[in-house]
Amino acid sequence: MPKRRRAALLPSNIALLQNLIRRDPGSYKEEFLVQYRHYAAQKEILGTNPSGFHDTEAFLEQIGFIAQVCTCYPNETKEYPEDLADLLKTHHSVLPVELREKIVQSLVLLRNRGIISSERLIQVIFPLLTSTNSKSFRKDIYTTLVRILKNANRNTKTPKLNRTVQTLLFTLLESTDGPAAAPDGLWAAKLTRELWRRSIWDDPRTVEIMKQAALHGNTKVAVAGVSFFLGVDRERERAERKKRGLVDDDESSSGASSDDEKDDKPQISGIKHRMGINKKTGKRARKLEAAMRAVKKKEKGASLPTQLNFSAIHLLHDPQGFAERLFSQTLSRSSGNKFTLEQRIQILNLVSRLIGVHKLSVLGLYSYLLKYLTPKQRNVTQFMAATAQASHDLVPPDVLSPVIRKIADEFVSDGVAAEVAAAGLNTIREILTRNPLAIEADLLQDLTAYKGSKSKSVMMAARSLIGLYRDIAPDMLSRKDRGKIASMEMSAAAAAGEVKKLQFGVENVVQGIPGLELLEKWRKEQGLDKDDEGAVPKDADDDDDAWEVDVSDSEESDSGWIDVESEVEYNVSDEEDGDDLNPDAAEELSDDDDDDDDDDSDKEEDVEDNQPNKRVRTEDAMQTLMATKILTPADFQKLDELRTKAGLDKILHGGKAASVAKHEDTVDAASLLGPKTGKAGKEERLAAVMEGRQDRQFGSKKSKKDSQPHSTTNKEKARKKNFIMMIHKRDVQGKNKKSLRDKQKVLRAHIERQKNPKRKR
Amino acid sequence: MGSQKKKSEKKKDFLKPKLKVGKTKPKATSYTELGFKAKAIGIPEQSITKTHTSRDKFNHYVSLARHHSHTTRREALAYLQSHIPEEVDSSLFTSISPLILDPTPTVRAAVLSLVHAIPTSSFAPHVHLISLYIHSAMTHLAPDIRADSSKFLLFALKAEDADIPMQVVTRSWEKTLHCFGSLLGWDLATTTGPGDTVPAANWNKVGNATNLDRITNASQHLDALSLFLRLGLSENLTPEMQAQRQVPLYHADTSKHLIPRNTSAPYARLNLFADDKGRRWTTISSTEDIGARYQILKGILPGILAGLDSGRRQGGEIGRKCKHLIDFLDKTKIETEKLQ
Repeated sequence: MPKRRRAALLPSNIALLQNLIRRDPGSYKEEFLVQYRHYAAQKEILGTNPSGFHDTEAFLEQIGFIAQVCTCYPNETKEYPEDLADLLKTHHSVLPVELREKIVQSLVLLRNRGIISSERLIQVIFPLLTSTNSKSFRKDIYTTLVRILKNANRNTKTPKLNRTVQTLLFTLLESTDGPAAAPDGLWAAKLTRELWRRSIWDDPRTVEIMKQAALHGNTKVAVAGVSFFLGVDRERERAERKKRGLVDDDESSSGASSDDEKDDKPQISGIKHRMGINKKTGKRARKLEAAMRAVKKKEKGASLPTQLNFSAIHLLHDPQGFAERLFSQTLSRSSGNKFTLEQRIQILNLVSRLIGVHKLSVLGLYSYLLKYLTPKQRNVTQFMAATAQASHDLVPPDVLSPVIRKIADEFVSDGVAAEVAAAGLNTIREILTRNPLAIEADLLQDLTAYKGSKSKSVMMAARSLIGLYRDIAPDMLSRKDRGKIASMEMSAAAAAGEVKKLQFGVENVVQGIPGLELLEKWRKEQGLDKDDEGAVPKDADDDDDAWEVDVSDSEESDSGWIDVESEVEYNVSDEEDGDDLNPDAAEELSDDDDDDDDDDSDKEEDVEDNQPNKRVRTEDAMQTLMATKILTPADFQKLDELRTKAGLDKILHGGKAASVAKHEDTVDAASLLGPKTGKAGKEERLAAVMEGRQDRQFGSKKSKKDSQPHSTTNKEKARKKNFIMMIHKRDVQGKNKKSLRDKQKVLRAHIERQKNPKRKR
Repeated sequence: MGSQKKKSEKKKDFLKPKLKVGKTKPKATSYTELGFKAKAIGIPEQSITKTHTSRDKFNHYVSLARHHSHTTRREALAYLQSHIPEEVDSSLFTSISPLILDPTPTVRAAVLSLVHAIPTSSFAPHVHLISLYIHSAMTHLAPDIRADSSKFLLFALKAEDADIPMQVVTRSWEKTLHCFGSLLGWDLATTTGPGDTVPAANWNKVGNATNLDRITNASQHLDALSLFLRLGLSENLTPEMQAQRQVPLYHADTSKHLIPRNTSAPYARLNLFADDKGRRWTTISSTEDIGARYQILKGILPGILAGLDSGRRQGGEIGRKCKHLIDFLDKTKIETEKLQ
């Protein structure tokens, strides 16, 4: 037996023994058993006095060794993982730090080897997260947990494991619900947030955990939960982008975790450079190839389409209940003043966001806000932003109008500073974009009177309010403020016999694509539709091209359209001069903004009869075009152009469409103050400069280069070269033989350099 | 210039800070941050004058026994040996017992001589701890530590106070036997049931074929083993127990209803107090009577006998010792089986 020989080689240290066992487990079984028994003896010694255990190092080695080789002797080491788990469970608070870490490491190793399951490992180490006193150990466990879950969910999600952990977190949050037990719940929140940020968890259950946290009795946990909903989606997006390598590390994202996702992009240029200098070997060539492959893979990953992720707020079950509970538990008077103002603002932000996104009705909130809407209130802009976010078109106007009245009274009056008035007007505008019915015409007209304010920000705020109501309900504005287009529309509607009034609860439903009939008409004019039947193959080719928008082409056509557009404008203005509204022009403007008003096309019929070819009916266009053709990106581009030409874009972008889409948007508190006017003060300028400088390094290139270890450059070598070696070279000798002109040149250059040493040449 | 600057600075003090909407109010210059929390207050040591009693000095040397330098350790041990107090407290034992595993031979020798010097009466409560370290030494990777381990075991088994060897035997019977297996290179791990014979292959295994000559201090190990087995297996019945055997029973079935007296833990099989079930080397199985000890020995006896047999065949002093041990084991086997 050849193995016998090797067995005679007695190992003198554990590393050697481990190596030998790896090669030949059978022969070294007895040695292993001796070590295992030794480990057991040590463990028992440890058990008698865990805090005074001295022989840590040897025991560490023993543990590591057994963990490494225990796959070779599965029967003998059956109890080993449980032993370690027991050790950790019973003595973790008194064990020496290294030993504790080693045990965790070994357990992780055992899991990697498949000896224990991930579930078991998490069950063992998770309780330690909250029960240990050591900060570093906690951090260790935390990173281990995250890593386990990350690895488990790498290729496919593992619902079973996730559910186990989520249940653990749930119970952790539930069991510690009370003001006293802060850290445990906080850890649950932190872990969940981290996992969400990394897109490891993205299911409603996770969101439920955070919901639980937000409603937790402890203020810290509650705030953690709330800030999760407010900030985590942006965080995740950033992390995702970073992972794809689209963003540099300039954004200092929330620390803890970014370490192991560091950009380990192989430095191809460096490797290539080394290839050029060093001896070319197969190994180096292979290294380069591997690096190239890695980079390619990464690039491929970067170009992958982003997977569809719902934001945490959208994944909530029962948002109404959540918002109500959050409001009543944390904000309303009965809850006492557990939270600081900043925390209350955060919670308020979340509640208002929930209300805005899901169109909830938490009516108590508006009267609650009334209290805070005074210019002297600290951070009042935040409250104003929250108010704006909390309004949507399903809030009864009689609930919102006191709020608006209050803002108008407190902020927008003659006695207040311009800045305050602008903030008030902007807030009112934001609220009204979401719920236009919340204001009476009188108040609106009072507010719009500020358009003549001397302060630019107030004037702009008032104008934006006017602009808003021109689109939504021009009849509420005073006659002067309505503007040309809106007045034309109004009179056209009046002529048609139906005056539109805003109504509470009537939803603006989009039917079809606005301006599609223009495209249809254009296609008819170009004769494209006829081609469809005739030359099929050619058209197919065209379609293929059409899927990709040719930029240069579109620019060309843009320039082509400008003339036409101006012509149209002239037409309109001409007709207006005569103070007589052209029904055609008015129609062209009015019919397109409301695609849902199908019935009014009947009334337009008689007007159209005069010029049947000029317009194509909206409904028909929809019918024919949508039934027969698939719109390509090129078609959409054309549509855009046609709409611009028809002057529809203003209505589409600034009008009702915008107000419908807006209820989900957040309101930035800073934007309520209006655009910054005037020169920035010195401090502000300095602050901006400092902010810009934050990540930059100053100093010369040379100093940067010198500080890094590098080999001697050719320049340095030349400079330091022995003079004797150079004296007979042409470089030196030639100086004497230079022509006078050349000598003068050199001299001049030298003088210049002396005068102005910093100038680049 | 200077006065200008001063003037403007002075002026600044009386300027009203501009308040802005939506911004927090700037803090006053006289504002004091009170948000900190003191978790503990450190008080430097109150007294620097300490009287050093001989007791303190002794304790100091006890702590030096864990010093990183081996000469210091050895000297500390020497000091301890010459200054052993009347009553030795547990701190001495907890600090010297790990030195059984010390890598330096001189330190181990010093420990041994120190242990001999300590009065056995104070030794008794710490036998368990020391025996744990002896086990650890017997399975240690370093051969010289292994070689010295049986010296300590022999010391414990030969102690004057009869309680000490009995503690070793009763409390760690199984484990010590297994440790002997690894010490002498015998394969005892393959546990065989009562009726089984050892598989033929095992006779040729590496462990059993190990030449005892090659193991340093093999004869000493054999001494220890033989003493251990004799202590554990030879019947020295207490008078009480003998009396019990001879008591005339009142009824033929009385004995059935008595708590069995000749076993130490009669209800151990019920496993009432065990929290970790079935751990082979961690349970302290009740081995306070010969019967139970023999039952444990029986499982590994073939391995021991095989090892002894190969030792006997080597002849010499070791061979003689092996032979004596084999004879003893045979005799015990017959006796015990007769007894049961």
